[in-house]
Amino acid sequence: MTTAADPTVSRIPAPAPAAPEFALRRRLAFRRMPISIKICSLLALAFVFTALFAPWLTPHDPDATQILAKLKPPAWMEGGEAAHLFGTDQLGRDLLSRCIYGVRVSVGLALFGLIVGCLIGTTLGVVSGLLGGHVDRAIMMLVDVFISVPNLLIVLVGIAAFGTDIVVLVVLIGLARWESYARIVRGQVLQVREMPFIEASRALGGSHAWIAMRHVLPNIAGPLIVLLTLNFPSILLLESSLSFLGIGVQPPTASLGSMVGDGRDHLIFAWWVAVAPALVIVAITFIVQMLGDWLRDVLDVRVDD
Amino acid sequence: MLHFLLWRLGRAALTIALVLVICFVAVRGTGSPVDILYPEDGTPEQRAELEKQWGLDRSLPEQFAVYVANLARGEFGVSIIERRPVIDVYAEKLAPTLQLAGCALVIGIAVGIPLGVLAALRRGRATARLAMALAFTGYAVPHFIIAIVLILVFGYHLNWLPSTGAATPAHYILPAITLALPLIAAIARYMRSTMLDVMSQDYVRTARAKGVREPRIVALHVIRNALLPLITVLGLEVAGLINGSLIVETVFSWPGLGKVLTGSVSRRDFPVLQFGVIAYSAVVVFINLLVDVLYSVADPRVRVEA
Repeated sequence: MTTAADPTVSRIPAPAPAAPEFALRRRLAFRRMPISIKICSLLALAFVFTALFAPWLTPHDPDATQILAKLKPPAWMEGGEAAHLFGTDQLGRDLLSRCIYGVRVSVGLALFGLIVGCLIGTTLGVVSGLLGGHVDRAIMMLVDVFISVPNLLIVLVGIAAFGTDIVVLVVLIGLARWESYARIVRGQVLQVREMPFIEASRALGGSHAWIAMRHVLPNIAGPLIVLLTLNFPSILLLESSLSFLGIGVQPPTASLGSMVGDGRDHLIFAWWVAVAPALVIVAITFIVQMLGDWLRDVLDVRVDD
Repeated sequence: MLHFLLWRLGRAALTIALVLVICFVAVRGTGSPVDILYPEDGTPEQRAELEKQWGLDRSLPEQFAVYVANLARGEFGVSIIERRPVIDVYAEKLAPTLQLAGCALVIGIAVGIPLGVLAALRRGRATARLAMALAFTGYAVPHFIIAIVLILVFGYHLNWLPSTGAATPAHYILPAITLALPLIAAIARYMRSTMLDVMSQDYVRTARAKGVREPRIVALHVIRNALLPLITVLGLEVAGLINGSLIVETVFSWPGLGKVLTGSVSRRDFPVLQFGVIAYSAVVVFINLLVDVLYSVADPRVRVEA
């Protein structure tokens, strides 16, 4: 009996052949993206652009108060002014300008936090996977333990002890998710480790560090990129939750979370003060989540269980 | 089974130990713990007494041993702001927090599971897409924004529900829903994927071949088997629930532990924060331990993997 004649077998799609490097790059090409992903990636670029060039984009100084113009509604509502597109807050500061700076602060903090967590997690994951044995068991035990502690609590302890300096926040936010990288990277390293080219490099006298940098890391870049993208929203939300509670980025610096927190007291008469930054947060997390899900499908990696 | 239990207990103990180390290092890392853990206006004699009590003249490992011994005796210290034992501060605020978290958990399970089942059974159709879009939103929108939107719409605009405090049962509705939404999203997503897994199993095909009717297959063969792995997810979601309750309680001025904990951070009331962190972590660790043991009773295969 041939497989083609068996209806149950023929319906199962054949496993895709291992995709060579150039095919991967082609799958990520802009013109091959579905339309929704095209829009999302353009918007993501726009947000990065906003964060980078905030000082040149804002119509007003984000911290300049104007008591006479406080709690002005957005331009399209009755009583709104074209000069303040999103309206003004309780101190008469221009909300659009503050949102633009808020994107800069929040996205910047989240990105640096992401890098910190990724560096720690990847290093431990590579060490764990390459060395194996007791080192591996110890690191994996640490990962297990960290997963079961609510990360917000650890961050709270850190803030109470070391204050809300930007560097402290970046490190604490980064620490919150390091274990996810360690787990994924270790799994990937265990697979890559058995490849002939690693054995060849070792036979030629390559050290652990050399093998890790030159051969292992480039081969696990795909899953790492997916994980970074998928972790970004949760890091951003962690930072904005802290700032919302008033224990993250300190005033007068505008962070999207602290802006929502400020607006909470004016919900009844001036809902836009809280809603404008809240919409920006939702937009960013939504866009990045969509991109992450798409990347995961295209690169065909399993990062969550 | 005994081996599994011991292994699992060891991991739980290690988790608690790690939390203790973090608290210990955080307090020692910022200078003298006497400055952080005790009111500033204490007399030099009182301070000297404390330094002796905590063994601050000894080496760090010895100090840690003293610290753990003090905690084990139930000496968690005195709130710097409120000037009374931290246990008292927590005892009176515990009930509202537990009630709110309990409500959220019930809503999360009661809505999340049917939503996930629906999404799996009607895969590809409009209802399933809608259900998963809802779940996706619950995943991407943070607690404090859900809270603000609910307060705006149901609290101020429609004026249907109260949004601050915990005076009447109606006060529970908005905070409980806020806390439950991300939980619903997580449960629905997970339920959908395990349902799809189970539906492609051999025994489901066998049941179908036997001529068992579809509703019976779904109820007896699919849902029952898909519910099992969900126990583990619920255990993991408890940590998320605690993260969320800290924020939700602050937004809704809930008279619970959330405000106590977040307030202790901004006022640097370290004894209160320290006890909160240790107690919350202990709860999470205990629940996860319970979940793992329950799971290993229900599905003995996991014991081998351990």
